[in-house]
Amino acid sequence: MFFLKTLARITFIVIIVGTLTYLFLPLLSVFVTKSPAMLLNKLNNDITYQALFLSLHTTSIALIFIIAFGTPLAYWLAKSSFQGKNGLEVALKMPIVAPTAVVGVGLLLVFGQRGLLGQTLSLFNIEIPFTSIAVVMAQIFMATPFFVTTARQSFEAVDDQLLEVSRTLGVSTWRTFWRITIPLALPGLLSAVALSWALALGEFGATMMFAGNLPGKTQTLPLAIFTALQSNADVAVSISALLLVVSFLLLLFVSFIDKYMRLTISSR
Amino acid sequence: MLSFQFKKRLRDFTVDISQSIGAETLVLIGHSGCGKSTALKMLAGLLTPEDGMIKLNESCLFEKKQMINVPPEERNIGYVFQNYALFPHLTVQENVEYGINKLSKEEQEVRVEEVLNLLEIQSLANTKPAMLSGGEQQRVALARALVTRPKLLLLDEPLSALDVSTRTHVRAELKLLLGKLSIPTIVVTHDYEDARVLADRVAVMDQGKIIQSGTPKEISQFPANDFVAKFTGTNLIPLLDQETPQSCISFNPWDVEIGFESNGSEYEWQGIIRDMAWLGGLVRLQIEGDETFFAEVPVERVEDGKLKMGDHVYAYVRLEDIRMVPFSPSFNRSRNEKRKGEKRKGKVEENSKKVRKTWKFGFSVISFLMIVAFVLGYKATANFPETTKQVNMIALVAANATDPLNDLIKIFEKEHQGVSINATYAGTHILRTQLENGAKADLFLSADIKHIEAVKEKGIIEQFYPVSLNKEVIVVPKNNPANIHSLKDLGTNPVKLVIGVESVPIGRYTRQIFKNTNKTYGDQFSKKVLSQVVSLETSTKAVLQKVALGEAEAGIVYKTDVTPEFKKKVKIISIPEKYNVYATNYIAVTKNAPNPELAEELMKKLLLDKGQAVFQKYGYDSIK
Repeated sequence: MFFLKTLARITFIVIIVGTLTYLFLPLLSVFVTKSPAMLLNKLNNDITYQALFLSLHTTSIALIFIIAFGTPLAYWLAKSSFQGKNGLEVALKMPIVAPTAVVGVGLLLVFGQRGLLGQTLSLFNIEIPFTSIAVVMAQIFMATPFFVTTARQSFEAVDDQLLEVSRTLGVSTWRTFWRITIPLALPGLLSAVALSWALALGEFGATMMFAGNLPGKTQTLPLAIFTALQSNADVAVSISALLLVVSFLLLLFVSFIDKYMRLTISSR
Repeated sequence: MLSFQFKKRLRDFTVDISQSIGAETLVLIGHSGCGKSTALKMLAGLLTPEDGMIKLNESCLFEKKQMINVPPEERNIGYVFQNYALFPHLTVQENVEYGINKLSKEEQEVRVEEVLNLLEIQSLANTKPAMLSGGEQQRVALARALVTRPKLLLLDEPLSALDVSTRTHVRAELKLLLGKLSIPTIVVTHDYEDARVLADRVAVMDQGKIIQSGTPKEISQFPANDFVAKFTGTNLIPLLDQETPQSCISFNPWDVEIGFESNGSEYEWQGIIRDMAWLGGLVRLQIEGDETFFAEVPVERVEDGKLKMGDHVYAYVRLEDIRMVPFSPSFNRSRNEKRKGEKRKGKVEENSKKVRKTWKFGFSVISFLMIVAFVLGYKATANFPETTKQVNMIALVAANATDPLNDLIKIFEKEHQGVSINATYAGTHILRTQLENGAKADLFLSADIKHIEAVKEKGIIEQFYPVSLNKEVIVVPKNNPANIHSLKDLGTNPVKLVIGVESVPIGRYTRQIFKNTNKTYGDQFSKKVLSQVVSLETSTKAVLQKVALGEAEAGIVYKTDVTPEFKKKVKIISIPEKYNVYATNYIAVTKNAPNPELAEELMKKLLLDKGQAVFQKYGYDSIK
């Protein structure tokens, strides 16, 4: 009996360590296999700086749009019930499972020069493909479903009774939203923001297809990595390391904020 | 002064009630799900009735016919929820201030202090709700509702979230507070004790309707039916000596006498003791016979008489303790419905169980079949190579040569029974990385001399040979929006140009072509063309795809890339011979090929006439 228990315990530990190793080793290898001096040296070129700057620039803009348009949608999904809501929620997750290149083609079919809206847009002399706008649009498209799903969950977690009591105290729905819903949902909303930011930062397939790959204009970090892989693997590894560090710091920062805010809610 | 009358359909019944109350406390009592909370929400405006009206102090809050429906935030009704619903992110002080933050700062301070004093919670002002006990939370919730000076106070199960030990105490305090406030108050509860203490008037609700209302004393002494009697703890028994019962009798449990023998009294029943509960000096017996009722007898009687569970006893009540109650038709209704309900429930559960069982069965059958199919299928493929002796060859082939190599492999396999060739088609740099990392391969076809030379230097191959020649062409969409007709137009017409990135062969060849053109069109030509590039792709297929979709207005790819399928969508513009750069594919057999003889044979086939003919069929130039 004791033997069996020990065996079960060991198996359990082995499974956990094995899974963690499998998940982390490929990412860590980026840092371990090459010397840091070499990584820094390879990073020190215009293409990398341009790509980093472009990535931060486009994802920031994408994020503003995701928050501005995703939040009302998430709130509506969380607080209303109607026929076919389940279907809509599943449909909203489709961009998550769709291959990113397919998304790129889809965006082209809508906003491309011969696309559904592209023809109308070109009348106003607006051309989207091969511009930074296309990069932002691809990122928005890929990251919004994650944001909406996570934000919806945090809105759902806010007790409806709090909203009802707020109204009986003479506070309108709109002001209740800002004084009750947002403060209580904020930790969840922040992780939604972080998750979608990280996703936008790593967006590759749709950008490649829809926005193209031109250094300084549409070449984001993932595209720079992919392009560098064609010739110089060391540069690719260096840029990957940079992308991983940026994403990791971002997620770490948000998780700290999240922890801090949950503490302020639950205790004195 | 509040008066209301409204209707709303719920899932199983319709809430349909009307009441009129002054500055008093009305307690709505009923089982959970009887519609009492729904009634409160309709008063507060959180739910909309289907019909009816609500009037509070001469102002109309709701009137169906006149389409009046004042929103909750303008009704000035205090609402305390069952779990108090305090805002967890705000302190007690902030919670209380919440509803009056439009008032001036001084006014706020005065009001908050007043209400905190009233409820004796000044010391908790800076505490967060999570740190409060149930009783403290209730007071904060009351303070928060009262600070807005509501015209009506609604309390939904105000005591049910408290534990038993604090309940009695808090109940008494609440009664005192309600007395001080003297505003119309409606309390909802399922506990008769709450109703008895708090109520000026009690209304018993069942299935959305008020069955009886009156003072706590009235409904306890003269319950309208057994449903009400059960709540108040009174016994109510129909007189069965008539054909159809005209009246019932009601009596208190403590007026019942218990004995083992009949004493011939008019109001006597017999039955078996089903339950005994010790309540201080009394024991509460549940007696089940023709009728079920409660009797409370002193502890001494139980001990002297040696009463125990399961005893058959006689119970009688003196005439002066009997109250006659007119028979209410709802008596039998509530009895019968209960029985019906129980039956119905049983059936539904059975059905759903059956469905679940079928599901489970179906699911396990399907998964079993799938596992069987999977295992059998795996075995079938696993056994295959053993029955027919098979040689597997591996070829690593640059993606541009996909079509001719496919054809040639088929021919080769036909000529050599039992030989099967697995070809990997990918970018040359990927194949090179695979080879360098020890991938087993018989044949390597490279689109780039740089990569095959690097592989040779590492000693993976010994010798390589050119196997096919390819040319570059300009492709434009069928409608040719940028009006490109020659190489020169790429430098003169504004155009969205897509080419390969410099690190792949097509990118290098393309730049070489532009450089070659400089001799004719001037030194700035290639610079100008490159400034029109909108995207750098890593493969010719990506370039072609973008042109075919109409996004790019021109691109430069290998001639062989433009398959008949693509020819439907793009137009080919050839590049003059003198500027064009030949793209050469090279081939080699690896040093440690698993099947060296066959590999040599295959390579020879590719280099000689038959192989070259196939390459030409797909648009390549012969190496000769």
